Amino acid sequence: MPSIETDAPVLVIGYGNVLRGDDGAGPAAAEELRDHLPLPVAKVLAVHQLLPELVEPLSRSKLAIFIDADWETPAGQVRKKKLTPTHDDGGAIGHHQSPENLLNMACDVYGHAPPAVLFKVGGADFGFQQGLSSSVRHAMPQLVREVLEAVINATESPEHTDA
Amino acid sequence: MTRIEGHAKISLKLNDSGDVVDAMFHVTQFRGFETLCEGRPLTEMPSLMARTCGICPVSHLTASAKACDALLSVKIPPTAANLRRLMNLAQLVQSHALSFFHLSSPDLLMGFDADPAKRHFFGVAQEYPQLARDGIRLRQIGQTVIEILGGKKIHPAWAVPGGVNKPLDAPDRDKMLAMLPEALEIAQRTLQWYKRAAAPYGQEARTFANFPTLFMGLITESGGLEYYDGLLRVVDSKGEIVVDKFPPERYQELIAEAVEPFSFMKFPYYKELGYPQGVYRVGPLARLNLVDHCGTPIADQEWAEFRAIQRGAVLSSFHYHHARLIEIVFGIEMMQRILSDEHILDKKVRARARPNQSEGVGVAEAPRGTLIHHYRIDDNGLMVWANLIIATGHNNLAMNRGILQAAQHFVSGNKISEGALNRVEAVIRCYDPCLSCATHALGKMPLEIELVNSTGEVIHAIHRD
Repeated sequence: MPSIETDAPVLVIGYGNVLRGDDGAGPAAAEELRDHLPLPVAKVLAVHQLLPELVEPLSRSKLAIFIDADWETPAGQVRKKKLTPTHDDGGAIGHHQSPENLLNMACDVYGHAPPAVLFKVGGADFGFQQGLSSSVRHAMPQLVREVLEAVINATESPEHTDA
Repeated sequence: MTRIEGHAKISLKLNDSGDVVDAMFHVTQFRGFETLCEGRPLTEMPSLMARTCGICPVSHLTASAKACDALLSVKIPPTAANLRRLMNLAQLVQSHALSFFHLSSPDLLMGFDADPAKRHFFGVAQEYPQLARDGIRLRQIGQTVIEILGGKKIHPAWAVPGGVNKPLDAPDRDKMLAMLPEALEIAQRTLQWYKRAAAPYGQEARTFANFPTLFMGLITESGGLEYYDGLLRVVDSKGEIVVDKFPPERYQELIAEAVEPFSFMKFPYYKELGYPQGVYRVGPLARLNLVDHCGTPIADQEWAEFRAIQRGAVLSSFHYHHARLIEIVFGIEMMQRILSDEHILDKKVRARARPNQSEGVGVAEAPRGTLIHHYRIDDNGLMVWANLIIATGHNNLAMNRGILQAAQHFVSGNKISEGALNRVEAVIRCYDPCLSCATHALGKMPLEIELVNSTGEVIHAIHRD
């Protein structure tokens, strides 16, 4: 089914490469969240990388939540960061887009970007392998819980959607 | 040698007077798919080969599945063939949209000499939001059709030896049909815009790989555009047919492959002309030069106008962009036709058999041109040999010559300007080569250009990360 054709007030995007160990934390979290966040509450996407095609569904959302692995955050820790639309020079298109860039593009192209937050989980091993390290596996329940709380807060108080 | 993608490097060789006398397009990464598939069961090949590319996985899936059909000696059910054809066209649309809107439109909108900090798709989004919306939407529609059919946008494992693994149902057919009028409207709007926008770029059209070559691609029995099946045709620079309705599985009678020490990409050439004289081009420009008609109403009108650009074949690679947009129109019209076929919901979509041949060839038209998968298996159905000729490889000789032509026109003396560098890039980009990392750059394609004097000394270099 075409995932991004569906309207939902909250768009959750877990992104990363599942063949690079902990880089797959974002998609793994998204897969877990799918069971907890059915439509029409939220649309949950697990994607390999951020692409311009995500800009259009982003622009239709009332809240966007990005989930990514991070090598600078201590392994197993979960951190949250509010995002603002920002254009950075970026790298190669389709390979190194940032959430801020996509939000900026949503503003430019569609005239609206939702409030957005990034949940980062510190990874321990980004080598060529499938599966998460024990640090990230142990952090996964907390990560999922925090994202769920952000969604619940936003949907119960739609005027306060900065998570 | 096998399929490669990644960063590119260009060397320009100068004589004592500082004139460019040679150009080399180096592809410096090694992929190795021809070798790494050895020992794998043939049944794995389509999904394994789809991993060759994240941009055009459907092309590899399709050509590989066709090669496996040949190994099984089966004729797949007509509905399965139409479903494969449908997905291949959806990929044509999304891939061409990526090439045109995301990668090439910044040059056309902002100019080849514009500041590279703004000459990218995000710059387009800021300055021309409607065009950006169109590009995003068109690509989204193509990808959504792929996702509906194959379960995911990238690397769908849906085409299998003998057919496809799931028939289409009516709700999914209707969803796809409902999107296509919008896609067609976008494609037509963009094509009309392009014809106006490209007008000021006469100098580029004259110097971007504008030379006589052969052109090769698949055609239908009636000489129309064909991307899934069909027969090979070769035409010369006058548009005269050189080879017609040639069985694609006998490609080795037409084409041989050479290698050069400066690149991991192979150099296929037209055998009769020898190497390196046997330059031929494939892809959108070649296909529109080959056919007697497209086969759908709107595309046929646009094709007639396109062919009026030049008597004989349209030679400048700058016109790949124009051809690409006409192919998008054709792809959408043909998708509508396939989805409206009364048999498209048939449940018989797979022929099952054991391996019955030790050798099989699958040929399809990828967005960038003719794609050939050629396999040999042992008695247990395990791969023992593979040869892949990728569209970008077919164009390798022409790309090298194109760079030389552009460099000779735009580079003089011992220095390279940013505008010259971008024009050399743009020549490469016309072909939309599948060096995916290098060509998906946001305005700044990772690229090195070296000026080498007559003694081989590098006297000037520009490098971009």
